[in-house]
Amino acid sequence: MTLRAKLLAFVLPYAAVTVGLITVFGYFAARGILVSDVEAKSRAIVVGYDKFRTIVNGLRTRNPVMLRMPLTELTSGGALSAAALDPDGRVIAHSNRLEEGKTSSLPPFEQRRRREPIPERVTVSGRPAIRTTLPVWTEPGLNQPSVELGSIQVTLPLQATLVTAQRLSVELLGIILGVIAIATAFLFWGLRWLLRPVSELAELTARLSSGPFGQTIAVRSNDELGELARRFNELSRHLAETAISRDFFEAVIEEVLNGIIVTDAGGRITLANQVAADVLGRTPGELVGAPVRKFIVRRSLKGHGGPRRFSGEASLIGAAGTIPVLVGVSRLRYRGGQRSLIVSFRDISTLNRAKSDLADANRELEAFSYAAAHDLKTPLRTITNYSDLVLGQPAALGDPLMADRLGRIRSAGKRMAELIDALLLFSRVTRKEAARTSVSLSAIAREEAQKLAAADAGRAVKTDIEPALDDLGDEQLIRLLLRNLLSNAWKFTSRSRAPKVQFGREKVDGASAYYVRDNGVGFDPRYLSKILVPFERLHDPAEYPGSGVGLPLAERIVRKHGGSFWAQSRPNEGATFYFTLHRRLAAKERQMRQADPRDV
Amino acid sequence: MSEQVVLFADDNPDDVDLTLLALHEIGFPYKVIVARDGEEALDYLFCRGAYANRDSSQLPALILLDVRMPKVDGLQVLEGVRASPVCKNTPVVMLTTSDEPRDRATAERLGASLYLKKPLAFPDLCSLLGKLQTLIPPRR
Repeated sequence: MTLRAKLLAFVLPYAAVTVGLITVFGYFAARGILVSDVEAKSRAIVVGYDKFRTIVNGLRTRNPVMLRMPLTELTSGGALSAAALDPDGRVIAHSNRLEEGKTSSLPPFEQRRRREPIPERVTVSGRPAIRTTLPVWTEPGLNQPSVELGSIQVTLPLQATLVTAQRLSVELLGIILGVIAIATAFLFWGLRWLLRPVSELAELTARLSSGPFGQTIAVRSNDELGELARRFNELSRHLAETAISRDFFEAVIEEVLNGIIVTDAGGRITLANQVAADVLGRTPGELVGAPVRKFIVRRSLKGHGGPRRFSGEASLIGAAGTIPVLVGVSRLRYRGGQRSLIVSFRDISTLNRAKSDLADANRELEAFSYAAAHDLKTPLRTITNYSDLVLGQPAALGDPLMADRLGRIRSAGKRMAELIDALLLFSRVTRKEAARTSVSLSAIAREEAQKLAAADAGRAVKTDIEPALDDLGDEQLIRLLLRNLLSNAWKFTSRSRAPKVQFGREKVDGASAYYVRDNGVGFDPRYLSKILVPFERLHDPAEYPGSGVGLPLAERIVRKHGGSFWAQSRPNEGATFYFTLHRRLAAKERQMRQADPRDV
Repeated sequence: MSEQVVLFADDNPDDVDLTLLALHEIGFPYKVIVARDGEEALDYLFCRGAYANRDSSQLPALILLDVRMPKVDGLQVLEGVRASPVCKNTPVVMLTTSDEPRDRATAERLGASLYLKKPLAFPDLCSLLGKLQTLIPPRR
């Protein structure tokens, strides 16, 4: 039922009741007016009669003959009948002579004494009529009181008057109904005009429910409806700005590379994207409605990012078997108290395969390095040891050329053995996982410096090691790192007049950076990128011996700890090697990598 | 009373010769029994195979084992020695070419007396082997 029909339905019953009441009251009012008109007429007939003298004499003498004539004249004005009665009500004369001698009812004496015409409603032969009684009294004389002579009664018909009253009320009804019909028509069209903003709002709502947000309607007035339209337009625009349509949401869900499953409070799947279906080897339609427990092997997941979010590794039960996945589960509670579970997952079987392949490859590499180290070094040892044996022979001692050549063979063998050891160490460190325990870098640096000093007792190197530097890391690897950096500093200060090696910590770009500084020979910063390449050397091995893996190894160890390694140096101005643990400084790493030997 | 012996197992003939030369050089006073691999070493220790008829009462005063050997490697021999009630207290010295930390850890766990990396220089080999004599308990 439309609002307009409701308003009309509300108005029309009142109109109908009003019409009824007006008609009824109109009828009674018209009848009252008409009846009193008739009364007045009958009184006028009686009072205005010019031959009243004759009637007085007739009554006094009670002579019917004398009275008949005036009575007949009284009826000529449309009266039904006229009668002359004595004070007792006996009919002396009547316009209808058959009535003479009968007794008629009279108004009470008290009324008659007032000598005024008395109208009454009567019924004559079953029809309504007005009968007016005029009491007739003698003129009062000297010492002679007024005496009642009798009465004159004139009866006028009322039937026609009542019919007129009815006709009047029927006409009134017709007029009112006509007016109401016109008013209803006006109301019908008027309401349509008045309620147009409401129907437009209804249309807009219908359009918004199926179409895009942001549609508006014209604001036609400044009243409440206009305000409603304005607010509605604002709402629509706001929705367009903030709401995400279901299409968009579903498109995003489908585009995501993870499998996504949404369930209701009971754990039944309400939505599953294609990726989820593919991983499980089913269609999204097969998943919807099924309990999510059917597809997930329960694992204890770790909470992350709040009490309602969990993640970890789990297994899914697919059509073709179990699938290892990385899973995240979020419990949602809407404002209405409705609960839901969002499960997103990523198939990690490829990753797991790659991991296991990598582990296999690492194992193979390890076995290979192990065998290589043994099998390559065994003949080398034979070369060097037998060279020594021959060199000890008297024949070799007597031939300097032979001794020199054998010496060269022996030192080449030793050098090669050192390189093999360095290579093995390098590959071992690269493969090792860094542990994370509390490590005293100061203590390790002190021990390593002492070892260096003990092994090279001929040199006096001033060492300055900052105390109480502790951090988290792999003790073995950090020892190797500091050993390499300190021995590097030791080595390159061998030609300095007052050699000095420092270990300490300082703030660099907001991070704690450890450093090993020396006042040795230094190097050209153009060659920064070269020092990280294994077996790459910036100095003559005869002058500064070494395998060429010390600094590359140091850099790998730092990287394993999630830190950055960089250096600062100038030729003959010493060198400083910096490293951080657990914090990367991209700018420093870039500076190292981008150093170009071709720059001048 | 018979002579005290030292059991030496190494598969590489060059290394065997070098070691014997070095032992000779330092005047090593014990007879050296050479086994060419771990299996032969175990055969000797437990009087099996080619050594079935040897005098089982004569146990080596010291066992020298190369880590990497065909068939049965040095670490497995060490394990066999430590598991045997007869020679579980005999000092065992491991000799290795590659200083693999994992092997060193295993040897320590199994109860090796010394773990030595074979040196590149002959004089170093001599001084290293010189330490062996201190491991041999004096005869009762």
